[in-house]
Amino acid sequence: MTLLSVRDLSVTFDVPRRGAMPWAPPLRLHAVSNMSFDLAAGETLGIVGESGSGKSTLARAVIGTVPMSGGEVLWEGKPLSGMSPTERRGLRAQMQMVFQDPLAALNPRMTVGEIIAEPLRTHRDVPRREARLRAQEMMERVGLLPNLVNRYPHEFSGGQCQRIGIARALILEPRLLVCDEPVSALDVSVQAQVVNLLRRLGREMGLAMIFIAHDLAVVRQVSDRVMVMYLGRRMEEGPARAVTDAPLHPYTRALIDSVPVPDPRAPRRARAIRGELPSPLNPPSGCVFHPRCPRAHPDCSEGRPPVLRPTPGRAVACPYHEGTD
Amino acid sequence: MLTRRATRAFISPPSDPTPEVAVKGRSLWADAGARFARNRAAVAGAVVLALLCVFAFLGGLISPWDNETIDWGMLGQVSTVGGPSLETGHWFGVDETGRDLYARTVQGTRISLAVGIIGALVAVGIGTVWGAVAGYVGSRVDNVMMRLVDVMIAVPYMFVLILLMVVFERSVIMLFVGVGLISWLDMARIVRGQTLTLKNREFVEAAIATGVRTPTIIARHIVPNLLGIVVVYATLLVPSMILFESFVSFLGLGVQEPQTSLGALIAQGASQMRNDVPWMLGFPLAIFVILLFALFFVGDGLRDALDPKDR
Amino acid sequence: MPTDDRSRANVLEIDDLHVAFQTTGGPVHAVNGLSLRLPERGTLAIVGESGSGKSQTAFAVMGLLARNGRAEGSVRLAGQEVLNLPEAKLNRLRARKVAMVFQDPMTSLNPYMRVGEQLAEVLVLHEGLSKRDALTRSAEMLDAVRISDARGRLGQYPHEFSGGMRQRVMIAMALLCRPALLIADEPTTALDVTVQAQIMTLLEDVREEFGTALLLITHDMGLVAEACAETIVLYGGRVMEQGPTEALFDDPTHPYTAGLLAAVPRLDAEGDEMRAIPGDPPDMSRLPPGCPFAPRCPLVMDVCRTVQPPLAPHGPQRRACHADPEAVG
Repeated sequence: MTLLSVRDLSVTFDVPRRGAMPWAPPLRLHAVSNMSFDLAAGETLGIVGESGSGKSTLARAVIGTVPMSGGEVLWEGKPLSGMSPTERRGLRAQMQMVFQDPLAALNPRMTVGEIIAEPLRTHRDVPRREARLRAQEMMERVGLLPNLVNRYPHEFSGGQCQRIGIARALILEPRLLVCDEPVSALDVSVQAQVVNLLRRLGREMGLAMIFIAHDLAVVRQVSDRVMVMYLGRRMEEGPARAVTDAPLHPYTRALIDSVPVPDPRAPRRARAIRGELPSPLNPPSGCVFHPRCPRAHPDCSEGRPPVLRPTPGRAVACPYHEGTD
Repeated sequence: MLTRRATRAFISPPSDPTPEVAVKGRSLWADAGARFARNRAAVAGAVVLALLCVFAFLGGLISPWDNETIDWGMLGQVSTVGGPSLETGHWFGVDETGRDLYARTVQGTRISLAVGIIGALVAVGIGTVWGAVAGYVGSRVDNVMMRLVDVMIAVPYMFVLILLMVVFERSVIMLFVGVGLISWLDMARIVRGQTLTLKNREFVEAAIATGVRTPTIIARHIVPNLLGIVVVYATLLVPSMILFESFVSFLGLGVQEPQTSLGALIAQGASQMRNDVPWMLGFPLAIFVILLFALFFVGDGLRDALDPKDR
Repeated sequence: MPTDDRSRANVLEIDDLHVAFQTTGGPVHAVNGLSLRLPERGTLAIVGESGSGKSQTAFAVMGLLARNGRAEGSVRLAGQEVLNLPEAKLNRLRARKVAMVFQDPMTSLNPYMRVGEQLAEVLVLHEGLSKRDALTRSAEMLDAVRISDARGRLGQYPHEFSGGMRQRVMIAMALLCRPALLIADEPTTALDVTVQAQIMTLLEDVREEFGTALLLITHDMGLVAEACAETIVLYGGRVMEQGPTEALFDDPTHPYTAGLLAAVPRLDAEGDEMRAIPGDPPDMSRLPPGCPFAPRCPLVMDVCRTVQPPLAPHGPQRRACHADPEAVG
């Protein structure tokens, strides 16, 4: 069953022109352009991309903290734009988010118990005492000692803060959890703990997840499907293992080749692709990846590349993808 | 039992003796309090400030004279017998009309403190809410609210105050109104700036994503995180309000006789310099300087204690 | 550390380095008893997580410790003792013998100065070149770090460069006086993976071109494997294990090294669960009396909690662990 459908979603930001008169029309930054995807209940979709790829903006547009400028988000087939404010507020309880910087996502003046219980007290009429008990239950579930309920965030380590963030996100038993780079600020030895915790709780609670990361290896571990983004556009999408084991899009290939392998005897990785992410204010014509693409053809700079579906469940926005030659 | 100072080592499960009682957390306020207590100058300032408050509010009880009664025996010979003396009961001496300077200083200190504290309270009350709402809601609301502040800052307040004093009669109430009108403007600007940075912090976004209503976000997430800077600025505002009142009184526009304030007393003392009555300037000025120093030390200590960079 | 190539002199020798900071909460021991040898043109990695003391080691070598920090022991650059040297003498050594590349290039570049002027300034100051010659040399150096149109870009300001280009400028600046040792402190952490790969390739190339030794400070085991011949693994300010990178990766003899290697997310991983190290990184202000890793160690014994294990040779490596090396892995 499809829980969430995103259709043609676009997000643009107005950037004032430097030195221009205040009434001059601002520049438009297309952070996300015409993205579509579906997410089934209990499914995990991984979104990978470098900084500036628009992956966080996409997630925030879905959650509703960033306004969309075009397209539609449907929750169980119902468009969000057609909902009443009360309905939308109720929906907030169904979608929760886990943030990148574990400490910054927690109000430093509130105790851990208050932080975890906040969604509960916002959406359900729960007395203070019971909210506290529920928060303690949640702390136990994410692997924190419940007797630390009166502590403040700054007394915890990064990994523990992220557990607090997860407890807060899950206390309402939502159906969709959006994780925005939940482990990239953590030490390697702690990353795996948090990833495993998210997976275990996701399975126990039947959560659908959107898992955003720049690390393909982490995304591969947690996701059923993976979507690769570049400059606000979808490059490739497909089953997680299929995409990482046999990437089709040249950009996915480049991402995989760029990850250093922790094995001194491994063959030296292929030479990295050239260049850096162009400014989203002035994206390249045609396929936005063509200036850096090792497989670029002359016609790549003209017109948006078609989305091909070489095998069921896979999509790639490149007519000259791997294996075509 | 774990003590309040139990730290991270006890949080990780392996080393924790798993007590059933919830451990009390160390809030940022408690941290700041401990830092403040370690700052000797600030603690000394706080003690002096407390003593001055006692002096201002209870000092009149022990004096045999009040601030209105004229000691007729002193008139005409103030410079020779009106000096500070334990025998006459005029501990600070008398002024040129024979009124007891100690009682007048006590009363003046009380007015000055009240002006400072009321100015700071208005600034904290209106300025914080004004700035937080403008900064958090943003766009058009922000524009309207902050332009209003700009306009009020642009108007020369001394002129407005003089008008107020002339149109309505000179009174303590009018002085408080005047002080209240200007004190919150800078506070609103500072708070708005701070709110703009806070608003982009992830914990605020988390609250928005959860569906917490805007007034609750401002009250629960924005304002408590502003309080540090608000408290610091307010303590620094108290002396500037006292200085402002002194200036107004110096111009002769402040409180009305027989009421007085530190500024008015200093003005009077200064005008009597030629008449060989140095105590009339000396005592009020000393109290004034001590008060300002104490406030600055406390404000400084608070800023250091609450400064997040030190964390 | 003995090196496999004894014919080369060492550019960097550290013996029993201790770094401690005075804080209001008492002393914090950031580095405890670190020793290393880095030969000319050699490569060495110091790996560790946040708070392991890896960056403080680099700062101690550069004489850049915070004011409340104190370093003890011995640090010799090309045979000359540099620890606690007066600032004036240190300045002369910096740039000529050792240079450093930081994680965030923006903080080390002056945003109000043209890139060319900043580069030329180093040469005017340290080599006494004329402004004109210095600019020519700077352009050559930008060319060497593969920045196209080097001449033209000298006149630009740092914000006109992209993140990767700024890091190239930093590398160029570090190499201007042809130092014998380049310290790179998390040089690619702020960059995207595709750009990270470019910078690592560049570091490798310029190291060969200029004959510089490289001390790489990182948390990324992948970068270590790729770039460095020798590795030191730090945890809680102590050396857990050190030795040739290949030996360390093939046959880790310390449970922490083994755990760290297993925890690295890999694209070829099988199974669902990721291998995690339980527990949290240590609080540096209250380290346990024994091995700092003991609270998280799968092989922990009673002795580990009370007695700090000595760093003892085992095969090609040195390890600080009470457990049987055969049991690790």
